[in-house]
Amino acid sequence: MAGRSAPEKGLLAREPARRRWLARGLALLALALSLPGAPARAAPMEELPVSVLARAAKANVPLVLSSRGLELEVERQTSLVLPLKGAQELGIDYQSSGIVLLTYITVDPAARSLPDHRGPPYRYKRVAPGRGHLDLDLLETARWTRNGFPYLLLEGAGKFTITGLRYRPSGPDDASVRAAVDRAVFLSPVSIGFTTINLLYVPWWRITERTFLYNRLGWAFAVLVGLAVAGFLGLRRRLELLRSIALAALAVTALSDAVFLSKFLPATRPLLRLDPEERIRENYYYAPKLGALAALARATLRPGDRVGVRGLGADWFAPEVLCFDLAPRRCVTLAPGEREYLSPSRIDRLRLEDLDAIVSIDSDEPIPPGFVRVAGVSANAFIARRP
Amino acid sequence: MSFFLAAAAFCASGYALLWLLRLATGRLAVDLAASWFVGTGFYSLAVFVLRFLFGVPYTALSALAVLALPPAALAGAWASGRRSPGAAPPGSVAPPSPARLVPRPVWLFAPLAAYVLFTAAVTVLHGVNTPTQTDDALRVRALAPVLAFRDEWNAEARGVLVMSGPIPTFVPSLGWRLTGSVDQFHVNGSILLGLVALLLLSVALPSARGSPERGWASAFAVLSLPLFVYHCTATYADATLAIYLGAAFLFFIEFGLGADEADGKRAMLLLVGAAMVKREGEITAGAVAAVLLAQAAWQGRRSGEALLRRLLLLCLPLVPVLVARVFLVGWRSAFPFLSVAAQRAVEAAPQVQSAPALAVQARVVPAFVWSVFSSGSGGIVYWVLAAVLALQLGAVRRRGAAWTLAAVLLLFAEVAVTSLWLFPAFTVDQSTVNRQMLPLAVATALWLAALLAPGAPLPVAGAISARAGPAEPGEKRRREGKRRRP
Repeated sequence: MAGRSAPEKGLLAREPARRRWLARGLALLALALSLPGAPARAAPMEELPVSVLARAAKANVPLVLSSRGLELEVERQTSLVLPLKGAQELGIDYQSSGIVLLTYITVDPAARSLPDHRGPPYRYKRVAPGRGHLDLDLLETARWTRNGFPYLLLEGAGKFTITGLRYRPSGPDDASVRAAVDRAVFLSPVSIGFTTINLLYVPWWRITERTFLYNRLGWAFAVLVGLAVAGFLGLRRRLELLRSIALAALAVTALSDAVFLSKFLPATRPLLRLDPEERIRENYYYAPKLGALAALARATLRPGDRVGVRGLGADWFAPEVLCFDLAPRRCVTLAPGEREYLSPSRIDRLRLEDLDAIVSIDSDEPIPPGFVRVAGVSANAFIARRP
Repeated sequence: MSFFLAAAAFCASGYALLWLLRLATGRLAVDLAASWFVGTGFYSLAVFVLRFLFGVPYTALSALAVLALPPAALAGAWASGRRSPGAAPPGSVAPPSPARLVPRPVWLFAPLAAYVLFTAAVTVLHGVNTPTQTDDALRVRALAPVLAFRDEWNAEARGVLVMSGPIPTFVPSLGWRLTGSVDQFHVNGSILLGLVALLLLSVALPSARGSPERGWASAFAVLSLPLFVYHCTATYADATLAIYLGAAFLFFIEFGLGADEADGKRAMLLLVGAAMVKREGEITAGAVAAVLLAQAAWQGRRSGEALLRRLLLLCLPLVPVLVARVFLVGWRSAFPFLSVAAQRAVEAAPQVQSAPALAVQARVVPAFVWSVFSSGSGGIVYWVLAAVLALQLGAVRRRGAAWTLAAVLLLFAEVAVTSLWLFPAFTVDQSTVNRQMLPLAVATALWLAALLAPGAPLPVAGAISARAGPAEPGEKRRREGKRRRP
């Protein structure tokens, strides 16, 4: 991607992993041995040769086996189902060019429908350009089962080449699998998406038993308060009950905070970027191509331009983001077949002849007559304007 | 840079207003934090009323004129000798105990302070870095300031403004108005600066009253609310409402502890600000204001009702805001909760309920209970509240926290009515209930921290006697002795 320097690549690649380990350390420290499920004795990682992968994997694009590895062209959405039934964890060595977001879910052939890849939980990783490695914990995904297959969705623009693949098969018995799932879900970080509004995460204690962390903490608090009441009565009121409640509340809140931080920290981006254009380009965490296009459009369009934006089909997210980031320019969503186009919240109404420019991402529609492409981040993400 | 200039302008304006109203505490940290809330509230109110009742266009000039009004008035008052800038404002009492900065025991509070500083820093940095990306923010909350910048108000734009409220609309737009260019991150910046001001006020206000333990415990309690922390970075207005309400609640707690009239007025002033956030703001702030007024009326039984009248006077500026809103969108849209409640009263009658509606009714109570106790959105704050209510109601009264508890319970009742009766479907599908509880969660956390933190909260009777100045050793005995003599 334009403008990304080598040191930044390193930061992108290493920094979230570092924080993730720090966060996990925090959680482990705070909860010591009280974590749900005994630490499962994990099966060792096994290697799947790329040549085997190329034969057995299913994708919606042609799979090309080259000397570099298994190559996939990414434009819009490229899906890949790996032939690894019951895999718990993946380690992918890759080489990437362009802007790619990798989302991972698990699909069960017996299920009636494909789970929404945007979750919750929305499990995604931004793929840094160049060579790199990704660790994917499939147990964190929704509806993981021993019969499920890993399903990777690559969104963005560029080429993604798998140069090596390792996986961890599921545990030997149901009990160890359940323990591993409980542990993985408990430790999994918050996955922030554009629908993360009312609930930050479902605070499972043991997802396989459908028990919740805050019920556990609440009852632990109740037990501590009960002990304080007993002490209050037994010690003939020499114990200050209110202070005991305070200490019990503090102890349980400390545990709650440790869990919260351990899940929230990996999802945050606390590195300060002073330039707002850079923040827009780099920090649409789960929509990197959209962020790059928004930043490019801001740099390309004139302040007084009237803009039409369009996405793929009924996608509302990309048009809303683009119009907001292009404000205060007048901006409408180009809905096919309409004579007059409306902006989000219907503030502006413009016709095609009123428009100075079009910003398009992943749309199937051709460029309207009278507009020519002037800039873009990929074949399907571009800016067109009147000559 | 324009954002920080705008923030400084808000604070300068609010600071001057606090002095003009004789509500400055004389403690810089407290007044600085309060000045953010007062300044942004005054600016939004004035611009909103000027624009929509008097037709004054929203330009850089009108914005600067509004901001300059309080400092100019204060300078005028000082020049004419009506106010002495160095004097403690009348109506505020001398601090009941000397200010203390370091909480005791240090071993207990050092980790709490570290958590507060670390979590606040991460939240601010993450929020500042994150572009607007949530649906409601893109269509309403962050769009409203853009509309203010354009200052073109068709029917749809007016609808967005009313949904968002004057403060989320006009505060982020000031920097853009002054520089002429839009930096989308100002919207997040405004929310985060509000968070910083709330945390500063949480720590500084009790510390100035001699109880830094209560201060750090308050900040810790607020940052132990997971959904609130996240929402400060999500560009929604729920966190903004919780922040303004929380700031008001801090002064309300002080009013309960110390019965200082000035704290009551400060609380009411900030509640006026909270009423200008979202459509729900006036109902949420109204609940707390109603209890505050009731407390003032109760305390004024013997000494006259001067405080009640003064508090009511502070609410008066909201009247033109409401009038302007009716002008903007008509009665029905100006007070949507009334029309929804009326509609719901008909729909909720058993004879007209459809099968799906009855199915929702059956699931709504468990869903609400799950949100309160199991979702973790408010940490364990409701578990602690339940324990205190079950075991320590007497201590609540003794510690001067009964009126503020009434406000917490009234807020809870509001949330329960809205979640269980007005919009049960949104509770069952978990689309609004947890974020609707954010102001309640913040108020509850602050209330619990004030009650449970070590340090010495001031007994009510002691505070009233402190009005005459700090008591000297033996003074209480002398006063009692005087009373006993015929």
